[in-house]
Amino acid sequence: MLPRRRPDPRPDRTNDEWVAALGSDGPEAEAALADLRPVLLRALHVTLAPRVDRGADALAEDLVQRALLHVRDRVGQFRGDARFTTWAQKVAVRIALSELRRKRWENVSLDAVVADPPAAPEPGADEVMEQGEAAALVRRLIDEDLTERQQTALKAVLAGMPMDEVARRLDTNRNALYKLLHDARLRLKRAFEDRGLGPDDLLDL
Amino acid sequence: MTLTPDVLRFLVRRVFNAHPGEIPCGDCYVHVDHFAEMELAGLDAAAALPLVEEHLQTCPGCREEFACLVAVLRDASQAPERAEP
Repeated sequence: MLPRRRPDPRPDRTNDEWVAALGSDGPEAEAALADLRPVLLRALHVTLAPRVDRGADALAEDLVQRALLHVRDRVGQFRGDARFTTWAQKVAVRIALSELRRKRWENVSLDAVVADPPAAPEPGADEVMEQGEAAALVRRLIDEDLTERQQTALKAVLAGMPMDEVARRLDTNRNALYKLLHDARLRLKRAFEDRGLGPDDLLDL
Repeated sequence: MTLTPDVLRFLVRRVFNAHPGEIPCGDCYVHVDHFAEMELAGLDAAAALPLVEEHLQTCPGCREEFACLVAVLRDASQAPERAEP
């Protein structure tokens, strides 16, 4: 039996054609993945190159297969309100940035970040009391009005840890973490308002 | 916990801007490809998708992903013949 011939390259598929090809089995899906590969490889390179000192091409090569599999596995989630390639490039960008964030923070513990955030820049002499007063009030309300999990998440994010990483350490996902922090912000807002404080009061303290 | 002046300002603004209608990162992610295409086409993406715009203004992670996607789309439109890095 003759081997099935690989279909001709078709990087210009319509959205429906991409979805149909990637949702199928056999040579049509393989051809679509082969056509998508250079598109995603370029997206990974453009994302990584300004953010790593060296090795962007090798890292892009490492990640492109993950991006292709992710796109294929989730092709049913494509809504069709953007071009299919834009949607797939979005997937590749998130994979690249998540990987960079993971690598940058892999040796930093959540406990260390929460306990020891970056030091404050030296304020001027007049600023010390004002800043200290506002900061002490905010810190007290965080401790009194938020759950322990909300406190940990908020302190980690304020210390600069990316949401992906905080979510991973708290064994949740970014969406749920956002909701946790959103609820924390609403609680703090109520706590300030209950004390008759608005943003101008706090920033002017 | 040390609250630097910049962090304190950021937190206070985020707290007082909080409202129940905000969208989480997942909802922003669903729409951000469409949002980026509209931006690059010169359309008013912020007016069309105000909750996405609001989320991008306040979420550093999603904002970075949006900026990267715009850079990728600009690169693709400027060099459509260049497939490999």
